[in-house]
Amino acid sequence: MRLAAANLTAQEAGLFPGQTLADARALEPGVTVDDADPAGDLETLSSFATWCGRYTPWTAIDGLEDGGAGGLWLDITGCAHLFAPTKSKPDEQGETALLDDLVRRFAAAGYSARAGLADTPGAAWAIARFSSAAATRIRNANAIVPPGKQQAALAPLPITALRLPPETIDGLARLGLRHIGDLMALPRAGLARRFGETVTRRLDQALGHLPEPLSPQPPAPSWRVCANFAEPLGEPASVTAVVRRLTEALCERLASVDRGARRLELALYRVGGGNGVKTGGVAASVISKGRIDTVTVGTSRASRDPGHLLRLINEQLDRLPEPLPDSSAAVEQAIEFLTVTAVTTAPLSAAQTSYIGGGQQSDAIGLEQLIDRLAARFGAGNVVRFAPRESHLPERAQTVVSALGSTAEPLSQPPPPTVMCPRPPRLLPHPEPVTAIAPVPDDPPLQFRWRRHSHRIARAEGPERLAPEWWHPTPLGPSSLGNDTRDYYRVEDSDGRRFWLYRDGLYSDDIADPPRWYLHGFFG
Amino acid sequence: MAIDNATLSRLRGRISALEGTALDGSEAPRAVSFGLAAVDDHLPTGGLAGGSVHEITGGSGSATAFAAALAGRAQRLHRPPLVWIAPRIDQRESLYGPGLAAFGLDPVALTVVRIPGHGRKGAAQALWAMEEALRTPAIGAVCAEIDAVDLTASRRLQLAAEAGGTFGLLLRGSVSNDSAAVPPIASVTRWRITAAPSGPAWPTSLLGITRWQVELLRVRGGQPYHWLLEWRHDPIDETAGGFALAAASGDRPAMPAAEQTLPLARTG
Repeated sequence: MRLAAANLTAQEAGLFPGQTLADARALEPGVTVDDADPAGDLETLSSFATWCGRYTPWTAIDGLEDGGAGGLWLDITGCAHLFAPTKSKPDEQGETALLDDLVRRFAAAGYSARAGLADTPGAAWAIARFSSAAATRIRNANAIVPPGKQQAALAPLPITALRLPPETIDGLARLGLRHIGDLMALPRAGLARRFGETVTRRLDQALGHLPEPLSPQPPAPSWRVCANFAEPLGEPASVTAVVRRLTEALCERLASVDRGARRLELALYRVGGGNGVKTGGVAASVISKGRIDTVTVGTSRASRDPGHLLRLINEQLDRLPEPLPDSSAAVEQAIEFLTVTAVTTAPLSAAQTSYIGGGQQSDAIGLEQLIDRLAARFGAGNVVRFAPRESHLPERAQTVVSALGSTAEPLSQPPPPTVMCPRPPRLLPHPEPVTAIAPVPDDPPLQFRWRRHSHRIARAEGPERLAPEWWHPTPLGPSSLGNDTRDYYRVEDSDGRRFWLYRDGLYSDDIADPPRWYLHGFFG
Repeated sequence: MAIDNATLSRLRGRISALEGTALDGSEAPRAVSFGLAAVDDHLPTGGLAGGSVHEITGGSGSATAFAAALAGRAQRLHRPPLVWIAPRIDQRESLYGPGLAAFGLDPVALTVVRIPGHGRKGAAQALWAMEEALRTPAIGAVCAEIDAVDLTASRRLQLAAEAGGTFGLLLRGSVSNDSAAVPPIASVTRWRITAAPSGPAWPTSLLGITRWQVELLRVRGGQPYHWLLEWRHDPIDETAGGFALAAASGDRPAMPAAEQTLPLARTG
């Protein structure tokens, strides 16, 4: 057994990843060992990436490396000035403040983080991992490479900082090349011939001569507003007030480009625990970080009406897995950061909506807002419309589609009558077997028994013969209904109640196995 | 002492405004007429008052068809959307669009809300949904299948219907047939629909025109009454269907004796 990872304290004691456990025990008898859990590590890393959404919508995982260290990419282009304490030099100050905040929050949650900031991902990666200047504590501005100064910052770093495969590093080391500065001095053609183009590519990427695209996780949304609080919110009323303000701001932005939201996401970042920083033990301590609650609402028509969107959000705020904080809640539950994101937007031209009784247009909006509210409460699958389908089998002639995504049919004209034969207004989803007494071969029953009630039939009409849909590519299986000819009868019992019965199959010579009767619907 | 007509009608208007069944004034939502003078004239508002909640009890098929017919009548003017709220129970019979169309209801205009949950909780959810729908003026009619409605809940529904000017139907299937045993709720009318043997047909063994025994059990500002109504259905143009008074039923022959001699088979 070998060590997969070692924390700082363990590394100081001389332990390193790849060491056998026996050696490690010999070196440091007090070592605490846990099983490696790469999947769990990746999950944690992924949740960190989500959590870093407080700094920038563009975050990505760097992936787990040997030695258990994981990394995160944050593209803070255009975000830094938001963190600047004063208005002068907002970008420079903001970058420092952002790094400080990042490192401080990770430290408070019990994780040791190293941060680097540079023009290129490659340089930032190298600085964060290999520079002695990497920001591991607060107020360490040296971890920031000034714009265009990558060459000077990278030169003293070891070549491992270039993200090269181990065998390339070994080969370079055999030539006595130990620092990135050594590589920069060499002729590029020879370097590429000897070690493959990876070396020159990585070097160019780190220096900014070549672009290096990274895939953010999740894809960066473009419609987002956020609010950050020095003092976390501990009152439901203040949370809803902030959500209202953010939604209004988002709707204003959407209005300026004639768009509306189809899906809106509210994310609540909780403070979380981990006030006691435990770094003394040899093993890493597990400390919870603040959880993120998200609320997603969908609309059937693009909307930028803050009142409507807020009603949808509030409908779900009551049913969060953890309730909104109130004065009695622990400080870990308080909310320190909120974002409202329009995940999906659609074009929405300006329309006059306030005029009451404005005919079809306002009708459609009123209905769709109602559908949104109902769907937010009962689920999109429970607010439905009926759609006709090309089938003569009654249970297949009607399908149910969600009223939320489907655009409403023009309501101006009624659909053409599809069937001339009468159909019942109520249909049993699964036909129920009844006991019936009927003359053979083609006569309606004289009497039937359903759910322990006997009905004497006074009048009957039929049969309406429906053949199975043999062209249907997937028959329902030999034993299930729908594979036999059905003879439907409209019957009226002695009290005037009207039913829809059918006989499943035809009479055959086999007296012992006569066709069964089913009840399928109720007429008016 | 002579009271002039203007004073009288003003007082009447105030009373009906208090009662929530405004007779006149452009503000009041239009009443939903049966299209049948015998019934419309009996109702104080010349039809079922719009912007209010009406209660329909009775057997599954007949009450559904009657409610669908009324919702279809409410939809006649400019085909506004309809909302139907039903519990989501897999064993229970579900609405069937082609069958509803026969009663003048346009299934394409219908939005169905299926309420998850059973019993009291489900009823509370359904009441919430109905109230939301009633408050939406764009909706032509709201029909909800809710059995457990108490006085307070029904008052909320009535207020919501008045606020939205929306026509509401409460379909209560499993309440007792004895109207005295049903606790009062704040609906404007209460109806009981029972299937009646269908109209005359030839040969007599066939089904005739759909008929219902329609009982008006309670009406605000009016008298209870009962009718034998028919639904005249036109299979070519489904919107052309309408209510009609059934002719007094004459002597109806029982099932012809000749049919009884057919060979019988006991099946399934």
